[in-house]
Amino acid sequence: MTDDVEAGLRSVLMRAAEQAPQAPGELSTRLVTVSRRRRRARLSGLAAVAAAVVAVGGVGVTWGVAAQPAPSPLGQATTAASVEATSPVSPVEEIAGPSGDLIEKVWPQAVRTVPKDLPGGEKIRPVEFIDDDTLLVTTWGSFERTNALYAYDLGSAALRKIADVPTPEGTVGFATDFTIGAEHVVWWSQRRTGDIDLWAAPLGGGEAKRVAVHNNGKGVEDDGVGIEPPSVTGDGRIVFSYSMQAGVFTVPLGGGTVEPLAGGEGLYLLRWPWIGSVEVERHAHPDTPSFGELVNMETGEKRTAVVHPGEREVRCGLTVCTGLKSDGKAFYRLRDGSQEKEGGLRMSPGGLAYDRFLIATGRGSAGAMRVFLQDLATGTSADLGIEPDKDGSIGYPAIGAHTGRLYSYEVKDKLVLVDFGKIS
Amino acid sequence: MEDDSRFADFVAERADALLRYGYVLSGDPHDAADLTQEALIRLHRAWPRVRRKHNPESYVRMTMARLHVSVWRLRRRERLVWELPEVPHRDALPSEAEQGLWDLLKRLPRKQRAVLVLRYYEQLTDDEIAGVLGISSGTVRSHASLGLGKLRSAVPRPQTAKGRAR
Repeated sequence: MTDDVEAGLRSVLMRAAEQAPQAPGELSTRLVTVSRRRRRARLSGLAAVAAAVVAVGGVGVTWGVAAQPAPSPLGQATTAASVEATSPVSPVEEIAGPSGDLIEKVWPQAVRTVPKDLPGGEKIRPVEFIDDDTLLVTTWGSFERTNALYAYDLGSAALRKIADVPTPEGTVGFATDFTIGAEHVVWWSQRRTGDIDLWAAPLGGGEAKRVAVHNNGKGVEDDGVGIEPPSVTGDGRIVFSYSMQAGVFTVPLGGGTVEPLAGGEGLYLLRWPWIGSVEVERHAHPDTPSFGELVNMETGEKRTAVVHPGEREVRCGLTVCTGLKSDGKAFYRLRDGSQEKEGGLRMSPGGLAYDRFLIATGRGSAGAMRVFLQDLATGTSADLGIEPDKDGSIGYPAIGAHTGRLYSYEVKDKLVLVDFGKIS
Repeated sequence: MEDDSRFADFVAERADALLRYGYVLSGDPHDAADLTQEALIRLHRAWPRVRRKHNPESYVRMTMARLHVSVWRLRRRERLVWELPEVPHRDALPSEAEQGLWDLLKRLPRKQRAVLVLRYYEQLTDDEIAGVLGISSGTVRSHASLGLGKLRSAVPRPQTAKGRAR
């Protein structure tokens, strides 16, 4: 039995397929490179593979998909349990790449370098600053499966255990989005049933406690894709939103029932105390600005981003919005509409880190591929100092809307720590 | 080495078709590229086994469909950037009705959409779809009927469509 909708579906799918992006030449070489990288990471347990591989060749560097069915960059996952959720890609036109001095020179106050390996040989993965001199770090029991949290003293290189991280049976999304607040570390994991387990452990050390279990009525099978990184309020509550379902929820750190946050109906958490519209899911609302409207739940302050008619895919943070003009040209500017710039950058596929930073690749003065950290709020960019591999590809940790104050990456035997909080 | 060269041949030959499949599956060029790339990387890892026991193309298509409906989509963290040749800018589907249906598809839950794509683009039977997605045939039918129901209720009646297309 076929009706108009079924016939229409056949034809629309065939036609739409013609608009798909095309594969680049040498794709298999690049795939093999990534596949091997991952294999090595798995074998060595290093798995510092939050990496990007940028192919060399041509002028400038392609970061984004041009307006419509034009070429696309590729993100890729490691496993279903990978740790970092990303926000939508904002496509950008081809423009000249960024440039800049080495990061230590551009933002000396914000960059710190420590040995990559601890004296005991322990492999740690930096997560976030606890304070100026202490990092929250994790260790992994197996690939991307965090088994413990530590405080790492940058001065003495001493590790202090905060808590073991449990993985209950049936967990399909491992512990992720470690967030610090109210003297606790908070994170979540997800079970096959779609149940979200919210966890907390005291920063001072102790046992991880399951604060609450919540389910928004969707199993993993039914698009139950989990929650966005939770926030912790000053008075000790966890606040969170689901990834693709409106509503803001809260539960006391000490445990209790998850309740909808009053005033959060139909909205999403950006970062406490800011909640707003619209969700980050780009498919559902291609023409509605993401977080164009924000409200501060502590003060009641409202902020509306300036959006001009015809602009598309506008994605806002607290400070900066990015998007496409009606003619397809990319822009970024402050929320109030000022300091608008066109092009000149390629959006970080995971969104802006710390509301204003992204990674872009470009050519250094010697013509070689370089990776830059760009600060959209000031227009400054800095070379991370990462050298390309022999095959010309270059890897670096992914960055995105959920990157906190810390961005870290390895250069040779050093771990470079960038403190976004110290870049003014 | 020989395996790599066969893998390369496979990619060269099939990547564009897989991107088309990824595009109708996801409705988004970024996701199409993501899905294709991720599935091909997984294929590379499993290549000797897949070549012995399965058809690589079915394996990749199944991986893409499953990835698309899984939690994976929001959990990617690695980036592979490729530079692509310029392609002509094509804006929208030819008719307003087609564009409307394409937009409606974007609003369906991913599993419903995947079932419809597998049925009407891949032309698989419900049992085959069940195998691809790893769910029961009954679930396939219920996703299909829910998805079609939503499309039917939102698509303008034929006479309206004609009136508009005039």
